[in-house]
Amino acid sequence: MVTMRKIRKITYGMALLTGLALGMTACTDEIDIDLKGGDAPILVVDARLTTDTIRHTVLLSRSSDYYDPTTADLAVSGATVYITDGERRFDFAEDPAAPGVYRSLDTFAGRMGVHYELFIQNVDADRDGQTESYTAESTMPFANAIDSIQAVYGPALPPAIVPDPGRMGWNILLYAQDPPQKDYYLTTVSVNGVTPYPQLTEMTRLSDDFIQGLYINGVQIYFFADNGDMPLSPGDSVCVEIWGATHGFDEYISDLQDALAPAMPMFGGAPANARGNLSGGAFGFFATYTVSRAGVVLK
Amino acid sequence: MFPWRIQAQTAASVRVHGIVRDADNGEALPQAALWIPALQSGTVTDAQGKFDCRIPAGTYVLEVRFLGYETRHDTLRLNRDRALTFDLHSTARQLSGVEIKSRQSQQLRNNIVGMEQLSMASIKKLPTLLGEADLLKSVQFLPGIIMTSEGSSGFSVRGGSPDQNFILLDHAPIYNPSHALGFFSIFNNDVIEGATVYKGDMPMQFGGRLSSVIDATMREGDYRRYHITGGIGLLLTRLTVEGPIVNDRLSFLVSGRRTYFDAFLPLFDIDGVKLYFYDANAKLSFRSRNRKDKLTLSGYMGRDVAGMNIMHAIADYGNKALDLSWHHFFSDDFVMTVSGIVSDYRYKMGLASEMFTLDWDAHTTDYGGQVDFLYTLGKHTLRFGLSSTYHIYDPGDVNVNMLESMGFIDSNVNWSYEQERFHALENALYIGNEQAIGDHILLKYGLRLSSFSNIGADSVYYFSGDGYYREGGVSEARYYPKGKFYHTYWGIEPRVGLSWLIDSTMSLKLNYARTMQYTQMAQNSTSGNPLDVWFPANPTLLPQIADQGALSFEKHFKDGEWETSIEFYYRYLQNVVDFKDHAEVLGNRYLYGEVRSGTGQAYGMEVSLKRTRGIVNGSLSYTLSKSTRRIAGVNRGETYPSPYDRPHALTVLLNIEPHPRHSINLNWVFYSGLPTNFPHGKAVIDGEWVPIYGDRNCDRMPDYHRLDIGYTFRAKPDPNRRFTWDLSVGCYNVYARKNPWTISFKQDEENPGRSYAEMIYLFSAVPSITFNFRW
Repeated sequence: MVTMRKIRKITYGMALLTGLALGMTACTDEIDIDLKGGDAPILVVDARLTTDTIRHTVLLSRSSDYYDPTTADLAVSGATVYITDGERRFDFAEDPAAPGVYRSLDTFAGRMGVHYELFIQNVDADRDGQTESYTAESTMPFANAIDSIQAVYGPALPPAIVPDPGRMGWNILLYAQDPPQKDYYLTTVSVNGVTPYPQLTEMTRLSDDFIQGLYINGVQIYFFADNGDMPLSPGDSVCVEIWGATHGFDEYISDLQDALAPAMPMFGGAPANARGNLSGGAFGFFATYTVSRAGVVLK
Repeated sequence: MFPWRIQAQTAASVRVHGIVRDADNGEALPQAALWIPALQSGTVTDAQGKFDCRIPAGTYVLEVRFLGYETRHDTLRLNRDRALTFDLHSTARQLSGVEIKSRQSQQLRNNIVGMEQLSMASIKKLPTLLGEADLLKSVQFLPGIIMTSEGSSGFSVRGGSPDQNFILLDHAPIYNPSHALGFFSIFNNDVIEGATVYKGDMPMQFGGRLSSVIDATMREGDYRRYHITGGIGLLLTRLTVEGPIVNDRLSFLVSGRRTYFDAFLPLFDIDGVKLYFYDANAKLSFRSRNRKDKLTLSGYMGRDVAGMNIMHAIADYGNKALDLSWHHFFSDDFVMTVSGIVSDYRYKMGLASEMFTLDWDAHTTDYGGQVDFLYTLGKHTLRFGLSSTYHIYDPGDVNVNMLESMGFIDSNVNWSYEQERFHALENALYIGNEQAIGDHILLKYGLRLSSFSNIGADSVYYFSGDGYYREGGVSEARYYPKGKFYHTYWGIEPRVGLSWLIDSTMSLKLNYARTMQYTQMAQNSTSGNPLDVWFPANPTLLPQIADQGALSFEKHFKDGEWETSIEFYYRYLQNVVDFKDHAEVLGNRYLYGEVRSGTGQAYGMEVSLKRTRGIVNGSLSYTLSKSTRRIAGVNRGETYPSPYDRPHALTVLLNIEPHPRHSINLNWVFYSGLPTNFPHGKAVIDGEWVPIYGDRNCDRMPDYHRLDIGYTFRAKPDPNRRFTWDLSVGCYNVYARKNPWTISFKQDEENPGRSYAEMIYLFSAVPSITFNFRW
């Protein structure tokens, strides 16, 4: 006979099982995947030309099997590297103490609006005994300088998404004028001369869609929480560096960040190689970007 | 479905016609079988439970059978035309494999290759995730139909993508038939009468999708008695109430279900989260006294909500569908069906804080109607009709309100990102015939003429450059005013087939069909998500076309106890849609610029073996297939595996039913892993290992397999007692295989020289228990 008691008993039993069922669901685990390796290595280029007056750097290396732990002998040496701006030619020479690192012989600054071409010759990336040449071109974008940055202590200010309003720390606010054209910004920060996020792939990409042509009047771009990885205290100096990048370089950084992020079947398509601007199937980018810095000392 | 008519050879034949009904509620029983052993022939009732045939005069034993009912044996003296009514009593037992001799004869005579029928009872048998019987999960067990991603309701038929399946509930299309990101479908099994699944070779009255049609119908309420049916499960509860409003003439059916999963989350320290879905079905059915008219009004609505108290974040999506249908029998040979539908799929996202609010509201809506005629004349069954659907595709605007309190602006700023709305009218006209030639051959031929017109007010972006003229970006934008028919595509879709009944146990069928699809989903991933947008063909995007040929051979043994079949198919797709590398499909007003189209091919072999009777019964199906694409602008224009290519798919369903009160169900599935992209090398940039990939889809995920079991214990069958119940206990993925859902490659943070692959898997073993009842 079916009674309310019987139905209640069944319901309680099922509530117990729900807990069990949920406990046995989604998880992560390491897995052995054999990868098809053995493809001929390709040239990897990290070339950067900025508006700083410095000796600029071009890094040349080759690709390797994904699981191969040795990264020591990847440098590509003996290449001929130079950049032209249509009038002058800037030669690069390899650092004898650092294979694969090529520095310009002269100290010079990239200039906004100028079209630059990079030439890399005498390279044998795939070790087949034949040398190849690669080229790339990029125009230095126009960008404005940062006016200043300020440090304000308190809860995290918007546009940060705030999971916990009680979380206190130092907000770094930016003051700058956004030029009227479509710009692509990449930002990085250093504290007391040390960059906590040194890698290209950890730069923050800023879109100027929301602030097109407006004056950026104290927008928070970094937040250092007291209970976070890098708490700050009065006396620390913070320096923000903003790069004005080309559309291609911004896309390249975005692709690199996608490639390093975990895969999500619901929101991603097929993984694809980061889009570069080099010829001959080389991986990487010849980036021309403006650099503007501002610093503040915490009080 | 066209009933095979027993052809009398002599002049002394009589006409026997009538109806087969349920003895309790008077409901007509479609596909009930009538069999005369002495003549070794029979017929089946049509969708209205009627039969009509000519038999040589004489005295015979006639068997009348229907799944779930007691068989009748009547001795009839037929020496003149007779009108007969057969009332069958349902049995408390739910026997899976009672095979009806003439039912499979009917199946052999069915001239549709690749058609399967699912009933509510057969769907209930399959053990599923969390114990809820589910139509779309059952569909994934049919041969040739393969699930896309674990947990998802999406499936791929013969290498096609999930948006190439037309899913209909009482004639209304359902654009996103998933709840809870695909873990459940929107079909509440308590209200589903059944579904017919067509794989590629779809009848003329269907079109607009290339790969399959799932034609599901809702039950009608009992015309004579009231019933309450329901179930209590681990995560959701359902309740259905039905009964007569006017006895024998007007009935109603109302059903609802809701999950309460989120009530348990605080137990796991997850607070401030809302996660639930609910849905409701209702149907009003009217039949006239002379049974010449039937009028039904059915509706469905469902909603999924996922939200967090933080930022008042909420994601909300759901379907609504409405159908009004009228069946009119001019005579037993001439039936007309008129139906009007509305279908709406809406999805929203929102965020709110003191500083800003964000809203996004999108929808896809259809308004349609169809008129269909079925006319039988001698050896011919003629079908013709027309349909028209008005589509609205609205990917929605994103509205951001930045409030003054943000601090860096002087007053509230409203910013909105608008995406184009599209409107279109899709029409079809069809006519076809099924003709019996002699006793062994059934020939069908038909033509469907379809058209698709884009209507303003729309803005259309045209693109320039290579890769099917899109690489160069937007070249111009044209605006078309409201109501202007600015572009029309049309096509002819022939459908022909031949069915040869070699003898009463074997048949051979050969079919060819062309189908066209005018809308597609911007689904750039294998698992899909509720924010996927449907977008139509337009001046920059041609409609997709599929040509499919199929050959099948079926044979059954021991009076239908064992059924075997083998089927070969080949499909050629034109203008098949895929996306370029690094495509942005979410919230992109230049979506058409991300599309690349080209050609595709799919071919394969499906083998199936079934045992339909006995204590141990079930089926085994194996599909061997290949599906590729070749698209300019993707993979350098070279052929690559389609995202849904799974070379091997094996499903085994086993039922052990030693006793009417006990049944054990097992299913085991094995699929080759889906195509994917793994790193083929790495570049070291700034100390990070950046993966370098090979050709698109050139790698494979690990193979997928799992075993599910279920056990059902039923109440003692007692014809005098109205209340019955059963208790189902089950486990999904019994041996807890960790089937990877996604795989990522990472560097070991503690040991930078090492990198490894990490997978996310969704389900280990998941037990379930459900209590079902019916009064």
